[in-house]
Amino acid sequence: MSAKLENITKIYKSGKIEVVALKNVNLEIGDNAFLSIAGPSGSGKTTLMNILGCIDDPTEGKVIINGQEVEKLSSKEVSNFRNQNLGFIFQTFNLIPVLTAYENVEFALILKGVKEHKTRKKKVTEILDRVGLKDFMGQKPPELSGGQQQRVAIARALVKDPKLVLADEPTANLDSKTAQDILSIMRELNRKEDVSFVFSTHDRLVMEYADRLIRLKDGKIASDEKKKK
Amino acid sequence: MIQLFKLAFRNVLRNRRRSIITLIAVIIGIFAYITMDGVMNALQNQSKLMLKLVETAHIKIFAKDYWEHRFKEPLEYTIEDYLEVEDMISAMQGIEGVTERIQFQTRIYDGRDEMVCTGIAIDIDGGDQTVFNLKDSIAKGEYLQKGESAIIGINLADLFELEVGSWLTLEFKDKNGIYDAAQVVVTGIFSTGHPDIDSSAIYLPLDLMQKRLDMENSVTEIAIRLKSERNLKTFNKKLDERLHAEFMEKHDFETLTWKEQAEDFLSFMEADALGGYITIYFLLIIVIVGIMNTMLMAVYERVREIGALMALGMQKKRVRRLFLMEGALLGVFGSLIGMAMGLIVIIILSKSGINVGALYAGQDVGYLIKDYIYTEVKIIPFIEAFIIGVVAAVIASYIPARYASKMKPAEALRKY
Repeated sequence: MSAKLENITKIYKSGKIEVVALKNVNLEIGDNAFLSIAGPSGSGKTTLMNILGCIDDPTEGKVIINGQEVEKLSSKEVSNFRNQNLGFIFQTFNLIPVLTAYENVEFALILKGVKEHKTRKKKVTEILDRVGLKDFMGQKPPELSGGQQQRVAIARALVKDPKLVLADEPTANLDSKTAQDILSIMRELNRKEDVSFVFSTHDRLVMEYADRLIRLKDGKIASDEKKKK
Repeated sequence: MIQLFKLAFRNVLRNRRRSIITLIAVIIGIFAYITMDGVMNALQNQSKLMLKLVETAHIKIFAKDYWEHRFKEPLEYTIEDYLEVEDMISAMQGIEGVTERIQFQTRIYDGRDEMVCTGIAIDIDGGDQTVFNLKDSIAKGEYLQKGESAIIGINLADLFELEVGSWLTLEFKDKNGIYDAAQVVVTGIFSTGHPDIDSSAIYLPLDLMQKRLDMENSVTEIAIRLKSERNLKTFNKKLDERLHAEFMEKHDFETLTWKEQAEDFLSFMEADALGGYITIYFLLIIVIVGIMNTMLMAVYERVREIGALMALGMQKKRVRRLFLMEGALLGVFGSLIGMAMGLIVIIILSKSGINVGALYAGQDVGYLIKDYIYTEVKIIPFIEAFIIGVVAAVIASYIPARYASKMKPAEALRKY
């Protein structure tokens, strides 16, 4: 899946104060990307991720995903697009605390419109097994450790076979062993199933795993480094 | 939808203390609605029953124009040969009883005080009892006797300090407009619960008053009691047609159902009930504000979660539906519990009754209640209460739900 950001500027207004989060950012992401966005806090990483994920609108500029200009889509179409194509992994997991690990993951499939219970069960069980949570399917998020919750969040993002996964600090709450395992899973999905990944991170490990490293500074792209696969 | 319902249900259980407080507000509102409706209905039904048994019967037949002039010149408009009319009525289907009465203005004296009262001459040989229940209302002494006897209401007796056996002088004008007076002995004192009747009516034997009023073959009204009130309007129409067909040459009648006779009283009851319902609606507003508060707090607490759901692709309408469902669930459970509690109270009051007489200690509160009222279990108020409870909860949740659905995912995810 390809994505293109053209002259993206994002300004947040807080009362009379205006904060420029992104300024004239141009970025092109090709198919099968494994890309990491790094930068200090406040450099605009999350804003860039949100705009890429179509959950925030730029103040200026165009977002084109798979040749389609996002601004021209209705709110419902954008929702459907996210639903069918994108997966999100949040730094703070944002799991639904009243649902079990299984139900949290299943909910993503329900939102995608997978109606058959058997199909959902097969997919959810498989993905939870893959992230090492087979024995924790009946636990609710408050009963899981930070690492386990992050794995549920990853399973939730991956279960619906997204074309692009946007992961905001996916390893921030994980120990290095778990982080390594999770990154391996993502790498495997990227290679075998052509799922694109965009990470926002401070984590060196993630940066090392990525094929391309973009550094942001003060809302601008400071460097764009492509590595050899 | 089932998954959304499951999620809504679990969200309701999420902050149990807050949900319980909201549920209590709904329960109180619905319980108050059911109980008040039950008591109001009991008051009204008992009053209507009393009205029919004491004053209006189901239907009354008058000479044409009597009703309009009944206070000034009641004896000017009388029904002649009333027995023929009664025979015709008795032959009709669905008749429980028929009787005749004369109502007239009279001034009573006890030697010291005087007062204008309504004299009501009744058939003491049993006819009156087939339509009215005056005999069952005797509180002291005996029912009306033949000859110069009278029974009076308990309030009138108190006012004139009369006892059973006291003598009273009545002054009245006969049918020809000639003043006359009669001395009668009080044989009984009644208490009907009808404030006007108990304080200003004096019942006398019909044959006595027919002579004294020079109305040997006439009365001012014929009262009818039906076996069932279900077809009251139809019956009244049929009766009117029969009367016109059979007595057109001699008489012109008007027939009035109890509702037509008691228009003012029924309007008062409606207005009073409306006042009661307004109080309940205020209570419901408090319930709505309570639920709205709970739902708003739930929305504020779950801003990030809402953002995440939207980022996952949950459409705005589903987010709105989720919060509406949560509100509706509070409404459904609160209403069901409130209804169950209301039902228990209504059943208890239908057996034990409420001693309204003791509660108001003889004051005229507008209703015709002597002592106890008994509630009835009716399905309609429960259906109404349930609908009100759920609709109120959904309305209360609408603003928070709309607020949640209007959030932009990125902004929601940035909160806290």
